[in-house]
Amino acid sequence: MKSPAQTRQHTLPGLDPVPARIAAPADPPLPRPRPGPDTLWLALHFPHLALDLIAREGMAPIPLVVCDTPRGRPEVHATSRAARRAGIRPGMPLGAALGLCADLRVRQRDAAAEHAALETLAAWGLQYTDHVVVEDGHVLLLEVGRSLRLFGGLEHLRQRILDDLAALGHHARAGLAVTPLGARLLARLGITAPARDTDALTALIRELPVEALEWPAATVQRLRGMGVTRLGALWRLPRDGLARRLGAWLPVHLDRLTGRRPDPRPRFAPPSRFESRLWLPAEMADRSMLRLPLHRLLRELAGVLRGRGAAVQSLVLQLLHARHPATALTLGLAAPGRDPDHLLGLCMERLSRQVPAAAVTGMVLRADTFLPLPHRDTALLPDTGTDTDAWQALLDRLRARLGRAAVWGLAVCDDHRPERAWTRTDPADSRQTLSSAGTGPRPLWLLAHPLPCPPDLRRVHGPERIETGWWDGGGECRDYYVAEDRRGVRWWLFRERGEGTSRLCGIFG
Amino acid sequence: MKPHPDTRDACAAPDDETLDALLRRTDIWRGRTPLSGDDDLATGHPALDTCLGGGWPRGALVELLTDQEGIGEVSLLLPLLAAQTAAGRHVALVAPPHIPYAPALAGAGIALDRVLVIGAQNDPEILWSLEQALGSGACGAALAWPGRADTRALRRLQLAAERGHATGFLYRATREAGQASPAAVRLHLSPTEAGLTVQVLKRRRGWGGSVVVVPHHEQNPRRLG
Repeated sequence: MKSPAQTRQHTLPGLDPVPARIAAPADPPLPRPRPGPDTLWLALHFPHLALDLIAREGMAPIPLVVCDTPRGRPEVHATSRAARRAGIRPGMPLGAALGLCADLRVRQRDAAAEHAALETLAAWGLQYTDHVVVEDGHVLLLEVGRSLRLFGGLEHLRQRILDDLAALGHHARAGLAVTPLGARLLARLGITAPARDTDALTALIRELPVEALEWPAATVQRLRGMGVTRLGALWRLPRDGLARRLGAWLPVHLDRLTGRRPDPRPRFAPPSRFESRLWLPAEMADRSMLRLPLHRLLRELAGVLRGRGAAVQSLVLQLLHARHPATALTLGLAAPGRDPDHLLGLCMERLSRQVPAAAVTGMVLRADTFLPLPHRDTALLPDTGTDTDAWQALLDRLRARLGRAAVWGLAVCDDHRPERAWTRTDPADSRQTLSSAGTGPRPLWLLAHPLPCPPDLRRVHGPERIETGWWDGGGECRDYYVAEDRRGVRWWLFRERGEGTSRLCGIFG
Repeated sequence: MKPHPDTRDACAAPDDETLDALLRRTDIWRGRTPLSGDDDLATGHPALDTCLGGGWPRGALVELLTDQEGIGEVSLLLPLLAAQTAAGRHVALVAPPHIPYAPALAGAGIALDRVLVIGAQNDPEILWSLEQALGSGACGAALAWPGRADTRALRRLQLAAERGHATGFLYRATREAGQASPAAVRLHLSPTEAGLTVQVLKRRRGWGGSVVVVPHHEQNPRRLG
């Protein structure tokens, strides 16, 4: 039954209808520790998280549902737009949904994967602020008050976060308020107006129904029974009476919502590794179809790395198949990096070399080791740094396509035996090598295997005796000559001591 | 036929001042006078520089046509490669026919830590690798030994070289001389007694046809100790 005061409040919201006799105890009990002037919470609510885990970019609209079994029988948990158009609604039994749409694709809900995805998004959110909170109900809280100036103001920051999320394939609702609970409330209800102080917040939520607060159904029922339907009416009721009748937590919750009581939140501590999984709506056999989902995962990785100020030097990409073990591709970089476009190019080159065994149903991107992003030395000449970047990017691309062993550098070794006087090196680590000691003429090309000597050679230079290596079992004693044949080709050849035949071992290219 | 009066007047009495003004103009190319490009890279052989009108072109393709290896066809480029590595740029060898011998390269003054060898296996890989190296911006010069390359592939390489300000050297067989090519410079290489004969088939800012002999000792000063 309703008291007259509440009825009046209900019908005339603009006035303050509550008699001073009732309102008096509610106001003074706590000093009002308003949040700091620069505290602002951005809540992100992901209403379709179960659906967002399935990559749909670039696909024709397909009817797709995620089903769950909360009460022992399968029922629809989330629906794609095409499925909704067919009349399928969340909560519907799966059998009924299949009856409405014959070619419906059904995927089982994976709550653990959803939670993992939310934690990955939390790590990703650390690029905008250092204070991120993971909440139940698919909500993230970001304290953005101190980030506003860096990102060019509130509207820019919110739009940027939502755009970046959309690029990752996530659809989020954002709410902005001075208190975490307030931001959460606005985000869940899709209220986009920001509440930058407590007065604005109370003005915004005054008219909301009490059901909006995600309180237990029994509590909401009792409030309704008391005739309290709007939040504005609720915080005018005596606090001790509310605590006695509905539980001590309720006034505390209300105070936290409106900022009268502090509401500290633990910071999300991100793990120093990355693993993200994406399901494809259908089996994909074409390599180019993997491009967009892969780009999405790499962008997520880049966001997480930016939040940590880190980079990666090796990545593992697992392609999941329906009836085969997963194909694992390991990707190495010449230097730590995190540019998603560069990484995508490498992955695609790699995929052209290592074709997956079967059609792909999903993919997992993993980075186990985070490294500090290498410092850019501010050089006097501006192009030195970009040259290093270009060099490493070139090495990455070549190795991704040709394999690591197909790309190498050269160095001189301190050995007189010609075939041991050089070695292959890793071109990525640029160390100064030994300069060669003064020797006789050396050809530009060394033959992999010595060849028999053709006739009619004219000696140009030699002999140069090389006798060494007796200590390591590879001892040799040879006379080396430079000779020219009739066509004008210059050869390098040697004759073992005590043998009559000569063998070609190099060409002066 | 009677010439047009205006034309006849101009021909009959060329004003000295007008002629001088024309001669002074830099945007009129006067036939065989070589124009030196700012973007040319010295070959290290003065006679060849003259033949090419300045040197190796930067940001372009150079075809070296020869059927014979071992005549100094790579030694010809050593001064350029040494200059490029000294200037901090890299040098790539794509699918070389034999093992590039590090002591000889170091002996020619090339910084070995800036040399990259790419062991591409087949023609598509070779052309792809060369395109990557030329277009990356990190390499000043890239040498490649492709088996076959059609005009479209060469055009892609030419564009990559322009993008990366690199010079691409392609070693090809002499039978490819008849194929149309977007390369800026095409040279025919053959051995003679005195050294390596370089015949210019095509060049920028001028006509081909000139022949120059790069003597042996000049190709690689330290080669014969």
